[in-house]
This record gives sequence, structure tokens and C-alpha cells, in this order.
Amino acid sequence: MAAKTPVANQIRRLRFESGEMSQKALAEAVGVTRQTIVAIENAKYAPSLELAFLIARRFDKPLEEVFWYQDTDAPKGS
Amino acid sequence: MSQSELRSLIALITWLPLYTGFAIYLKSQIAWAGLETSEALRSFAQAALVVVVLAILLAIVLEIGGSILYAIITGESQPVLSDERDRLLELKSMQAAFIAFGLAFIAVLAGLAFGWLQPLAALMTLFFALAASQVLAVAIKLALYRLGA
Repeated sequence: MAAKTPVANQIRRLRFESGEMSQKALAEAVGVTRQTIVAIENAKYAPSLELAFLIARRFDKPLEEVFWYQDTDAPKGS
Repeated sequence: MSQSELRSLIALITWLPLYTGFAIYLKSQIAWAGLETSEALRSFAQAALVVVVLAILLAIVLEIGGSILYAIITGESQPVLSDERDRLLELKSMQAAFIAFGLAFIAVLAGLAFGWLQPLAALMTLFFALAASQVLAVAIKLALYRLGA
């Protein structure tokens, strides 16, 4: 099993709050594969800054409300 | 399964028989052992070139065939070819393959330097080390995909 990245996120919750958006729909919206979204949601992969911004923009949220560093800060939105 | 993962899987199950077949062919050409070194090297180089051309043609066919197969399986007409995670996994697997080939290269150099290997055997070892590192790269990439890295 791959090690977890310290970059946590709340994409899963945001997807459900956005009309139960599917992983595939989010992946298509930001131009990556569904597997990449799965890996990000499970904290198996830390996205690039550009992809992180794209995902945050898709949910109309600031970056720090979608992603945060697990060991230091909690998300402002939670 | 992403398109990159599917292409890697197809490549793995296609390259292995190609290189294994070439190794079996070489074994059947034991008559080379009696040839002069330069003649034997030329014969091996000619056979290896054919395999390299075959591998390139196969890679092109796999690229097209993989896209078509993926479209049929998923029903997606315009899939994302590869994204940043695919490229990262590609880099990790290529790094491992480069290290493996580097070690084989040093071993061959040592073999030549100490007289353990003849030039033809050294060239063959290098060729198969390159092929093995290529297969290793694909295998590592597949393993990373399966682990969800």
C-alpha cells in the first residue's frame, strides 16, 4: 500500500455538497483521470499547485479550504 | 483502470514474448560461436536491429490499439491521455529502470575489463539489460498504479 501524503483534503465532502458530483465529472472538469482524483481523495497523491487551484476553483472555494497540511493546520471551512 | 495503465499492461504482455522470442532465436544461432568476433558482432547487430524496428512498430500499434481498446471498454470518446500523476509514475519507473541498466552497464564494463566477457557476450548482455530495464519500468509503473500511489 502506498504511503499517505500529509496533504489532506475535503474533496469528497465538497463533491457531495455540489449536487453529488461524480469523481469522473470532477476529473473531466480539471483535466485529469478519475484515478488521479481517487488518489488525491485518499491522500495517496499530493496534486500540483496548479491542479489544486483548479480543483478549489471548481468548488468555488479558496485553496486552503480544500487542501491543508495534515500536521500543522486544520481546514478553515471544517 | 486508466488509459496509461491499460497501455502499460498491454506493453508488458507484448514486450515479454518479443524479447523472449529473440533470446530463443539467439540460442538457436549457436553457430555464431565459431565465427570471427567482427562477423559475429555484425550478425548479432543485424538481428538486434530487426528486433528494435519490430519493437518500435509494436509501440506505435500499441499506442493506437490501446486508445481504441480503452474507448471501447469505457465508452469515452476523448479520454485524457495522461495527466500529472501518470507523468510522475512514469518518472519514478524510468528512474528505477535507469538505475537497473546502469548497474548492468557497470557489470559489463567490469566483465570486459577483467576478461570475463567476450565482446559479443558483452553486447548481448547490454541489449538484454536494456530490454529487461524497459520491461522493469513498465512493471514498476503498473505496480505503482495498483498500489494507488
